[in-house]
Amino acid sequence: MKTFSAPCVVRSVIWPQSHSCNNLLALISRRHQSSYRRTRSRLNIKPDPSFLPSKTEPHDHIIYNPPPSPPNVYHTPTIFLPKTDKRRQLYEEAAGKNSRLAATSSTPPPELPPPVRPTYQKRYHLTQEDMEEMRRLRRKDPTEWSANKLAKKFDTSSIFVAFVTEGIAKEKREQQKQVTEIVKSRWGVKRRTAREDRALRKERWGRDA
Amino acid sequence: MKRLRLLRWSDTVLSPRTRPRTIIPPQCQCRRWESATHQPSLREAHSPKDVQGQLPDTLSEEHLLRLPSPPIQAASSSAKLAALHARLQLPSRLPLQVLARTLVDPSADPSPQFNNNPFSILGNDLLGYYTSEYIICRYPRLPLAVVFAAMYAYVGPKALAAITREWGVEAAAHPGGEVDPGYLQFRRVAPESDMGPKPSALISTTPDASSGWKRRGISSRTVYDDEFGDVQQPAKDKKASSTAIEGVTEEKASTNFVRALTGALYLHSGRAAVKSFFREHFMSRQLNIASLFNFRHPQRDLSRLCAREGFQSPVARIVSETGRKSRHPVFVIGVFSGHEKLGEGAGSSLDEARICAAVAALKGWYLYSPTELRVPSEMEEPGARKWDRMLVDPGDIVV
Repeated sequence: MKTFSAPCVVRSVIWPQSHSCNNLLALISRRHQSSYRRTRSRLNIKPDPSFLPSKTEPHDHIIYNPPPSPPNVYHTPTIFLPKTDKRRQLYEEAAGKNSRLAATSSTPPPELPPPVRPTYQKRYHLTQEDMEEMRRLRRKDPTEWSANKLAKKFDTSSIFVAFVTEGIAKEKREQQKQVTEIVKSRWGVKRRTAREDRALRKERWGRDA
Repeated sequence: MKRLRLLRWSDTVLSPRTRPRTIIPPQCQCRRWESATHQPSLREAHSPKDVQGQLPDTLSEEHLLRLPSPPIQAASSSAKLAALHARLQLPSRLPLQVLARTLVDPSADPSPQFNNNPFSILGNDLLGYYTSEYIICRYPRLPLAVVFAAMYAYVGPKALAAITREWGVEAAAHPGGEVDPGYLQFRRVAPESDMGPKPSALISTTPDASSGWKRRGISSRTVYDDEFGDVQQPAKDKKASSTAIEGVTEEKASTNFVRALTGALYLHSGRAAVKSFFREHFMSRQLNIASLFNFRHPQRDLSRLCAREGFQSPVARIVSETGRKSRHPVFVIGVFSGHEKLGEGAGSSLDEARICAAVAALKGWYLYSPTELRVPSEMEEPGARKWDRMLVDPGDIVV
């Protein structure tokens, strides 16, 4: 009679990256089968096909499976190479060969990955009169006519509004700084530390190797 | 260039009072059987008559203690010096006496005929020249600030102090005539002494009153400042510094020694020797130039770069992602100009990954290196190939 045991934990076991020897032993010793032989056969997971010999290649070959890592910055992208560099020609030849191979094997050209923010076309629809109007409104009442409100009115971005209305509402800037200072002074130790850490982390992004 | 009569030079460069018997000019080879105190006429024509006459071989202890630096005779009997000469594989044309002199700092012996100051000035220029041409020819697009940082990393004071330690040069506790010539001799700074006002970290790059209205961006540093982009320290007045000799740090003394050795090598062994010395000891040092960059607004810079070079404007695209709503997401974002990927970056937030990608793309631009490294100074060598034009890029990205 076949015993139906459902070792859900063992069958769908996930091997996390930070696996230590102790964890492994604990998992194995925590078996859900009655005999060692059955436990062992349950723990036998088929490796990823990239680790196994290829079915299409009959002879020995090298499996190239490098660990995930960022690309080397010392490798210059093709369009960044100057026109006189010989490598440009070599890369284009190699790309040409690959595209010819792709054409023969009739695979569609790879699509570009999805963008982080939806792509937009730059529009230059604002005239000088529009920009003067923007400045007039800002001068009239900076609190009511904020950058966001002006951006919505003229169908543009708040950054562009900031460029156009630069230097008009200095008092509002000072006022806003004071408000920010008051808010920051009410922060506790944890919040302040977290914010400072965040600022340091952001600064460190620009120094990535 | 006419062949330098270095042996003749060495006579005038060394003190006229002491004549090392090991250095004999070729014209006087046949006169070796004459007495050691005989002064050949060639030397007499070049050097003034000395008053004291030649010092005896073995100097007394009292006399040694009075001297600021070891006598020249001591160089030939110093094991440390000979070992250093052999360890660095210096050519035999560089005498031990000159090597001994390069180890004497001006703070130990103020006389420019016995200290390493003249050599140090020449060596500093040589090192600066060879290093800067190597960096600029290897990475033609490198921004000037990074060039300065790389110069500091290769031949800055800290690097030269590390090189001195690597060469196994030890420092004497206090300079004097009785010290073994193989030690680095310098007067140490008194403990708890005021090192003087610290030079300001930031140099103004805008033309204003503080900079004297002559600064025009970072390029001005190549004109007004030293080889590392730092403000040049004003030369101390000779009248102001009276009899009290100021001490120097070990780092400064090591820097002076390495520069002096380079200068002495150039004078005594020629250009080829100093170039191979530079290649072996300085150019061979590993430096990860990619770690010297620090960008504040990489996305803006990349956008300006693509506009300047006529590429399509950069767009950040998600190459792969995982765990978006979890506590540890990973986003891999690539910056694309049309269909070409300029750079890739990974991060735990979309912003971080985007910024890393822009940084990688900018580094990919700046760290372009030609396939063949050719430096201008190789044209000085005989049988040099015809000079091919090298890439001169428009410069840093201006926002």
